[in-house]
Parts: sequence; structure tokens; C-alpha cells
Amino acid sequence: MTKRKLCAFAVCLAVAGIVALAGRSCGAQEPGKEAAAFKFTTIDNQVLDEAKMVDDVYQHKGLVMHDADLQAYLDMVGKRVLGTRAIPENVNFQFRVLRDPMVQAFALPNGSVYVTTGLLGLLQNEAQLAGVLGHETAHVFERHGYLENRSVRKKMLTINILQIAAGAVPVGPNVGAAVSAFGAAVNLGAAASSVILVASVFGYSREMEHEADNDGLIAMTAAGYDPAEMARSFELLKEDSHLEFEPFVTFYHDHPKLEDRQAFAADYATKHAGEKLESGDALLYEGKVAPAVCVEIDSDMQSRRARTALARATRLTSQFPDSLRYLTLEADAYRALGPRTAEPTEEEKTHHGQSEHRKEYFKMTEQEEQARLLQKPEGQEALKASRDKAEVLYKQVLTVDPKFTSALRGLGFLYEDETRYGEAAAEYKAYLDLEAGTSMDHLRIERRLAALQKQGDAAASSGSAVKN
Amino acid sequence: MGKKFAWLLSLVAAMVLVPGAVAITPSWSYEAAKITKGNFAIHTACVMPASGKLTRIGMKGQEGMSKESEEWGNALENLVEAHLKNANVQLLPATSAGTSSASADEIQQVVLQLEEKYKGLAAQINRKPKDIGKSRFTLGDDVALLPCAAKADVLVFVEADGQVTTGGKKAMSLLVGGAIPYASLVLTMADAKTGEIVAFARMSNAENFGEKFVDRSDEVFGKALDKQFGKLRLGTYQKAKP
Repeated sequence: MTKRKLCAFAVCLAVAGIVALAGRSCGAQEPGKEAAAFKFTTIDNQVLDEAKMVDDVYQHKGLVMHDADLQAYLDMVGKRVLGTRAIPENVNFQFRVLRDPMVQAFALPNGSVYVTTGLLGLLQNEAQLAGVLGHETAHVFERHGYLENRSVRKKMLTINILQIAAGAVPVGPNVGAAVSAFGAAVNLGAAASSVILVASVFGYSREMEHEADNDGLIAMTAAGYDPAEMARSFELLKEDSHLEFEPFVTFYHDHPKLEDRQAFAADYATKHAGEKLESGDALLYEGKVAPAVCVEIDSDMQSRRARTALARATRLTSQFPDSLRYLTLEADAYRALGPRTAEPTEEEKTHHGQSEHRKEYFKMTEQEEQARLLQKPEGQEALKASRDKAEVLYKQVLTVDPKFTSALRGLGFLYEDETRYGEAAAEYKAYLDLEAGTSMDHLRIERRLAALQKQGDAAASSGSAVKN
Repeated sequence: MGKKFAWLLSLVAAMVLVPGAVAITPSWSYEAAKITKGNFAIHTACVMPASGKLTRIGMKGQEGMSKESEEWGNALENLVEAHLKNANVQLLPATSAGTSSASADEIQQVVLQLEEKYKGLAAQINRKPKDIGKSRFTLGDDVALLPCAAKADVLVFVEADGQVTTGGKKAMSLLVGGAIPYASLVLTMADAKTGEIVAFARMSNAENFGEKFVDRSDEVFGKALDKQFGKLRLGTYQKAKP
């Protein structure tokens, strides 16, 4: 680099530094104070419009869950957390459940608070849900969405100036593919608005997240919920995160560190230990959120997260052991698990194991991944164990109710996977006899049965019997 | 130095002038062996709701274009349908209940489920689209859950993304590179009976659209669509082949 170019670079860097400092001095103000004296600018109004648009897109695409009982429960907890606080300008608090297996919650600046089915499936009681809603509503009360947007715009300008100065294109981890492959609903919001991307996937600034935790703890305690449950929910997040490979690290885990947040919540709870506070009836919570958990289990099975599906289904059946629907879901989850173990193996937990899994996730299809696992004896053992458990559960359901169609169908799938074609055909026939010809799954089962019969005919004509 | 400067000036001028003058949309496609061998005819298609994603990149970062994205998605869905019709492909609405007793909500959930499954597979398809020829990718027979799959040959997924740059960003890109305006359309076809991905076509255009994505959809992608449909031997294109 010549002396002249170096000089030019230094001047640009200095300009960029001044802009950056200006940005920092704005961000250094206490967010609470800034929020109280909040004045809407054109940029903020654009964000508000975007938020409304995101709400419309979620509704229009059918991503918002409509279950009257669950909605009433969510509204009740949300209202309790909001308490008697004055609602800020341009805010209308609405609590909604988003069909998404990603463990996530986020609030739009207009007051729309979204909790994913994935998160509802992870939490264990009402107080934990109150903690999440307290945290998210705090982002709205403190105007974090608008403030973060303003801050990001300043930072981007700085980055762009630096980029001109250095003549370099910034290189960062390309999370686009990962985000789109996982968490479709949140990704949809992220696609619509950069504010949602920052808030929902990467989190707000460390200070804002800390402030939201703090305000959330105060709000849930004021509503009569035990703040220790917020610490517990962070613990659950940590425990749960080892189950599946995560294509990217979400803010819950890294922004700020989950351990710090857990310690902060635990410390706050200790100060309120003597007060009469509740966690809420765990069984009541499970019952209310069960429809969302069922949706999540299905989504998990569709998105290569069979371990999570199994964990959720097992929890449902432990709480409601007589529910044939939940038992069938557990059997389905075992079937989806295939050659994987219910818990990650020691090898998978190592850095090397995780790195290998990351490569596989993007390189291989689910079928290819399963085929690779089946090359090892451990994979074959795991497959046998999963299938045995699934069969026991399906049969348990059918013993109670021989006409429980989803168990008949699941058992048919299982037998077909095990190349027990005759038995599979029998289950499919029983299913078709019971299900109306107009049911959505009719065509699929009809096609499978026809394929099995064709296969059987071909085997018979060639003189070999169908393997049973 | 003078020659070097002149060369740089003409390059910058070319970058500014050329995109405005021509609208070339290069396109690529990959097909399953059963299509190339003529063993799989596409006469009926069920077009899934299209997704369009537009982003405006300025000096102050990325801005959402939710409304425009929604409109663009709808416009592209209509465009693909119109060109399929021109190729004499019969269209079946993805959200129709057909002979099933499914409610609109149930169908919408199946559509979402299939889209989720498709998105999970898209990472691998984008990585090695050539492998479609080896029948490597499948959505499984879950496709049959969609009532329209009963009569359709293929399900068509339409995805598009585009980027516009503001004046400031455009100037900066000319100086140091970086964000450029573009529009890209991806069509993926899945066998409506088995779920196998049988065709994948990508069309990209790096022309500067300004903000007129919706108005110029046909102008930008129309020819490329016809070219790809011809290659896939859809409807009448297939009959035209010996």
C-alpha cells in the first residue's frame, strides 16, 4: 500500500470512528429513559408498518395457531403479566402461538408477542411462560425494537464507511441457508423485516436483553409468579439444546450467555424467596398447551428433529398415560428416530462429533444420514430398539381401541419399513375400512397398499413368497 | 496511469450502462432421468403458494419490503401458472379440497408441512442440483396428503428472491463492490405420487429493477420460463418432440 493510500485509509477510518462514537453515545443512554421520552420518527413508523405486515403474513400463511382454549390461557397469563401498567403509544398487546418447532419467542414493536409451539413444548409450567411473556413485553415497553433499529442503521452506516475506506467486502458466517432450513415461521418474519431478524434470531444488544430479563422478572413477580422459574426455564433451554444439532446459535444461548442470565434470575429469586409466589399447576399447563405440543411433535418429525419429538411425546404420555393420541405420537416419534439413539451418544457430544454432524446436516438428506448410521452395528441396534418400542406402543393403543386409526396407520408404516409387507397390508386395509374415503390420508394409504399388492403379485408370479 | 484510468472509467461506465440496456435472464435446469428419457409426462400441475422475498439494501443496512414481497410472490405465481397454461399444462389449485372432506385450515396445514419439508431439502438440492438426475431427493409420499395430488403429475414450488439497492449503496458498490441488485426465481417440481424431486430450474437476472419487480415479472422471467418448460417437455412442448 502506498503512503498516499495509507493516508486516505487513515482519514476514512477516523471519520468512521467519529460516526461510531456518535452511535455509541446515543446507545449509551439508559434505554428506559429513552423509551419513556420516545418520539416516533419516519423510520419508526416504517418499522411499525413492517410489524403489522409481519402479523398479516403470519395469519395469511396459517402460521398462527387457532385453538380457543390455548388462546384464552395465553391471554390470561399475558394479561396477568402486563398488570396495570400503562400501555405505550402505538402498542396493542396480542399474544399468539406460532407454529414453529424452533424454541423461540419474540415481540414486535406493535405489541404482538409470539411464542412458538417449540417453546411451549419445552416449558413446564405457567410461571415459566409468564417469565417469557414478561421478558418479551419488556422489549415492547422499553421500545427496544425501534431503538435497536436506529442503532443498527447507525452501525451499518459505520460499517459501510469502513468498507469504502478499506475497500473490503465484509465476510461473515452465512447463516441464511441454516435459518431457512430451520424455523420456517421465524424465518418468514426475518425475511420481511430486518428488525425481526435481529430480535428473534440474534437477539437485541446485551444491555437490552439484560434489561428485558430484569423487567420480566419484576413483572412476573408482581403478577404472583415465582421468579425462580425463569432461572429454571434457562436451565431447560440449556438441557434441551444438546438434543439436536442447531444450525446456528440463537440469542437464548449466546446473547448474553445463558449461564449469566440464569445466575441473574436465580439471584433475583433468592431475594424474593420469602414471598408467597406460585409456579402454577404443571398438569394444568401441560393440558392447556398439549395441542401446541402435538403440532410441535409433528413439525419436529418433519424437520429432522426426532429426538426432540420423542422427548416432548414422552413428557405428554408421562402426564397423560391414558391418552391414546399421545401414546400414538410417542410411537410415531420412536419410528421417526430410526437408527438414532434417544439421547446423543458420547461421540456426538464431542467437538469432533458435533462438527461431523454439522457437515452431515447440510450435505446429506435424512435418508442418507440414516443409511450412514446403519452401516455401524450401534445404528442397527438403535434402529431395532426404536422399532420395538414403537411396535409395543402401537399395540398398546390398539389393545385399548382396535379402531384407533392413526395407530393402525403407524403400525402399517412400521411393518412396511421392516419389510413385513403382508402385515403392513393388513394394517392398511383395516385403516381404509375405518377411515372415510374422503379423509386426507386416504389417498396415501391407498397408494401404499396398491404398491404392496403389486409387489406381492410380482413376487408370487416370479415364484418367490413375499417376505414376512 | 492514463491508460489504466481510461480502462477503469470504461469498466465503471459499462457497469452503469449495460444493466439498464439489456434484460438477460440466464437459466439452468436439472431433470430426473425419467424426464430426460421421456418416461414421465407432465400434463397436470399443482402450483404451491409462491414465496417472494425482496430486500432493499441501503447505506444504513437492510430494509424489509414485506408488502412488495407479498405482491411479487403473487405476481410470480400467476406468471408461472400462465406460462404453464400456455404450455397446455392443466392446473389444479393447491388449496382445493377436491373430493376430500378436508377443511381449508387442514389443507393450509398440509401445504405448510410440505413447504417445511421442501425447505429442509432445499439446502441439499441447492448444493448439488445435478443429483436430481440420480433421483437423490424426495419429499416422500406425504405429497399425497394434498388433495390436488390425486390428479396432478407434479407439485410445483415457486421461490423467488430479489434485492434492490438504494442510490448510495449503488455508488458504494461501484467503488468497492458489494451488494448488487438482482432477481432470482427457482422452480422445483416434485412427482405428485412419490414425492421425488423431478426438476429444478433456476433463473437469475442482475438487471437493476429499481422497485418495479411486480410490473416487469413477465419481461424478466417469461422467456426463461418458456425455455425451461420446453426443456422439461411439459404439455405441448412434449407433443412437439418426436
